[in-house]
Amino acid sequence: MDRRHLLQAGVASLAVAAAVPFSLFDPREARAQGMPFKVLSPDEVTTIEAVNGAFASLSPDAQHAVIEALRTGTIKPWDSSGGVAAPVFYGMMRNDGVDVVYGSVEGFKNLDIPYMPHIMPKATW
Amino acid sequence: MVTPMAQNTHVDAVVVGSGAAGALVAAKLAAKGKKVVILESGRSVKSEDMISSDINARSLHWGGGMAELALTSPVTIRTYFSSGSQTGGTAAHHYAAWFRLHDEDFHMKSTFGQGNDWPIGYADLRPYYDRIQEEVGMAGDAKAEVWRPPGAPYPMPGLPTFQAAQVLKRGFDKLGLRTAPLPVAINTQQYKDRPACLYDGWCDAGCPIGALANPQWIYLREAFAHKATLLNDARVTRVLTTANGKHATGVEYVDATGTKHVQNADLVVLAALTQTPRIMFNSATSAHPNGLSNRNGMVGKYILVHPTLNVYGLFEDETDPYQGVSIGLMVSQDDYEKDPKKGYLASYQWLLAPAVKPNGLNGLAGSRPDIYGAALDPWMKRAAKHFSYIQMVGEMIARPENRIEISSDKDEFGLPISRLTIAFSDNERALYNHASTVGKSILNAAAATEVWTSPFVNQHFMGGTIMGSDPGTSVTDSYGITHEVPNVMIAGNTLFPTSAGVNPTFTTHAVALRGVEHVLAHWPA
Repeated sequence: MDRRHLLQAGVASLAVAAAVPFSLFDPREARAQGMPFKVLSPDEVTTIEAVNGAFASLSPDAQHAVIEALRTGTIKPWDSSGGVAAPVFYGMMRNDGVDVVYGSVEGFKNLDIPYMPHIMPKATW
Repeated sequence: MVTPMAQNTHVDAVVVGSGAAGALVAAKLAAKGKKVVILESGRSVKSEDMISSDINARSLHWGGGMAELALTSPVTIRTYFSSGSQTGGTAAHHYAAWFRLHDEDFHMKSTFGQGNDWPIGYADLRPYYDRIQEEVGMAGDAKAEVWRPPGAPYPMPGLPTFQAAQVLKRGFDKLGLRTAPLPVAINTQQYKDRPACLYDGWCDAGCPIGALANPQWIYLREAFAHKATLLNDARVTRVLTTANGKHATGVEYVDATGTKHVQNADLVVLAALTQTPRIMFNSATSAHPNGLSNRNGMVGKYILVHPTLNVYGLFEDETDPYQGVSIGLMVSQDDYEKDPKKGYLASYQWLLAPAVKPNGLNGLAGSRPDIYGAALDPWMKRAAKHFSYIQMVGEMIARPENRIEISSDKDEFGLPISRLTIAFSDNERALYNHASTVGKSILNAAAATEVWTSPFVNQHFMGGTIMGSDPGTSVTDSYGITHEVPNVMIAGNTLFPTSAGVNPTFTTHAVALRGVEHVLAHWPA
């Protein structure tokens, strides 16, 4: 699965819970608003809903523990034989989340710093 | 899949790679009336494509040729950051920290018994540094750089000292370490027809206004003015040679459609950085069974990077880190001297106050991967106004076991990719530990309220086709001419026998200018 699909669906926002309004929906929210899935496959929707649902059901402390275990590579079980190590996964998800929340004109504005582009991006990302 | 071959019109010179070295060589050949074709494996990137966003910046660092350089496991050194597969190559996004090597950098082997010697000394390169500096335009303060090798003063005044640099400088001052404006190929005032820098801090995404000397604005422009041609998405697969292997007849390349071409030329210039060794390996014939000009087995050996450490701090002062230039505003080389008594053998320097945006590899958030969730936003808001850092650029000892070899894996056209094996030694780890201690002391002396360090990282790519005086232990002579095929010239960082402890691009230019002028003086090769 493209990690950007995961991100757009909200998983990465677990690592970047910022007070910035963005129109990012997880599959459940999208379905509630009658929005069609144009990018995600049915399997991807199922996976994301399962991951988000399981994570959301955890207490804040348990969520913190999961992320910390991802970050430090101590999460069990984690099968990286066909993919990346847990800290790398954490880093990618966090960095993507940071891109969305802070890497735009709106993100800079939220930090109260000027964007100062030479050439303004046409799209946020 | 590759379709049948097309034969291109013969040219005087074919240049493989459009980065710093390839662009310069192409420009100087074309300026002397030579018909030149530049073959660039990457996509077209023009100034108007250099969008100010960190996501765009990353697109200039990754992909293309680097994807064809496999890394051996465990991976401790990655070279993606200091690479680039597009018009202008790596230099399209380089930060333009232009330093001269010190004289001691050229004599590592003879002085310390480690690494390699260059076949030239500082005196040989000085006139080329001086000429490039005047031609391109550089900003700095030669007198303030008390450690600077002799050379002409800079044609432009040094970078301004924004608040972040002032804050960090007080740490150096308290410890008795001298600082100077960081010498850059960035305009601090209009120079020739290019404008002054705006200090918006987006150098990493490519400078579209021409204040920073990237190939798009300098040597590719000169090359095009003299009718050189650039072909993008043109991946050179091998150098073609005569049956006896003593003369190159041109190169073979594959275009974006998979069509194979032959570009015949009197001179072949390989300036493709990480792909130069690969092309040479893939050019094996019965006359060159180990790859082009590789009878001694030296192609691919002595790969080098610069060991790097960032020391970060938060300050009560407002530092406004989002502005300035990506490389930083000041430099200190007070501890550059190589001395084994220090506990390590390496030169290094500190760069002060690089411009920092919120996201990206060098961004605010990237400096603290341990902060996430609800804690991140308040930290980001504080860091956006009160963060700054210093960066150690260090030297790596050249060792033959750090190497590029040909892999059994193949690319989409069926050509073997190359594989990089490289690791730091205890010497580089000792340098990191030393710099970490010193760097934290500097930040504390600068009154940082929090100080932390990056992991042991790296930047830049050098070596792999080193120059040397002995044809038995090097790939080229001091001009970049391969020992076995006199009309094949190598240009760029792969010629470096040692890394020194400074950013390489000024030396890349000086060596390339010296090489191409030699070639022109002895034309035809």
